Amino acid sequence: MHEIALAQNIIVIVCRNAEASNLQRVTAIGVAAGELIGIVPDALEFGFKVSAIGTLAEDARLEIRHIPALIHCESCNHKYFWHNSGYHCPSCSYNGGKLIEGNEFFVEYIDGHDGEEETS
Amino acid sequence: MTRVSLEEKVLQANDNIAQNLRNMFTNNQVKAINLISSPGAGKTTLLEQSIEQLANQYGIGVIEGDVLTTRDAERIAKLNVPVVQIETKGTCHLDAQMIAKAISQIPIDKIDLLMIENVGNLVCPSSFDLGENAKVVVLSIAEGSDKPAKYPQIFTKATACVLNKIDLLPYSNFDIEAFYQDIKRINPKLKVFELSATKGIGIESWLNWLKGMISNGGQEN
Repeated sequence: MHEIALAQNIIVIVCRNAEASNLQRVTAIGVAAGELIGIVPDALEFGFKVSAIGTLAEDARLEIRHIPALIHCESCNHKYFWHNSGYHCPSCSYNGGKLIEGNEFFVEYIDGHDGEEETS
Repeated sequence: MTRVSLEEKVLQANDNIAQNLRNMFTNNQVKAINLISSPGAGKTTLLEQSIEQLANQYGIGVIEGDVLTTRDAERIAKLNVPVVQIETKGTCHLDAQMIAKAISQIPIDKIDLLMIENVGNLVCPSSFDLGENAKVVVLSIAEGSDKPAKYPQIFTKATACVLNKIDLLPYSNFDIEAFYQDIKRINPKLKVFELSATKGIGIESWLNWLKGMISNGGQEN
């Protein structure tokens, strides 16, 4: 259940950026999560719901974009998904390609209302 | 509605502290190992064996992570090396902040090797950088040969794997060929050490790897 710790980190990032942009209320948060981070989306959403209470992000929806792990074969230049093949190239059988995507874990957007919209 | 676009890493705060730790280790010529496994795979016994064999040549410090109790630290303290116990009180992993706090109790200028024993858990600890030079995953025979395929993240991120309790191989259904096939697929660069920490079997090549780590650059992470 390290998702609770991760959710708390997300909330800190969101609240700091929302305040800097004068958002009064956050409605949605976009998070990009690479496959190798190994988070469970349901657990992250649950951890977020619990941890967001009393913050600007209390009513926000968490939108998680899954990034599949992608391997680049250094032998034949083929790109393939780690999920199916690990580091074993399905094209030329070379073992030991390079991970080019799938280790990311970042907040990519925050949707919200600023004070002026709130009154309209 | 307003959209604020950003690209801020969720674990940035942890990674910043981990980088400070890494700098501190480098400046003090300390190599750090992050030991990760399920509960009961034999991390503490492996530590005891390694310390007994290496403590006459090298300065070793230990940080023990557990949810509760100081039992592991008490075991290590008997070997007369500096040890700090972190009790996470529920948290399923160690993070860089916990290490930063604990490290003040280790005489960092007097050690060559810092062994961090993570909380027993094959999943969560793999996400948190502790500033280590290498993650080492410990798997025991009794857990089964399918674990690398089922929990690939840690086997992907680790530099080395200790396949512990190898003396139990004849009494188990551990399929060692399937294990190596999975490892080849998941992380072909992973160094595997087959050993039994309680019996002392196969421990030499593991110790040599640690010595190599201490004496050369060892910046493998």
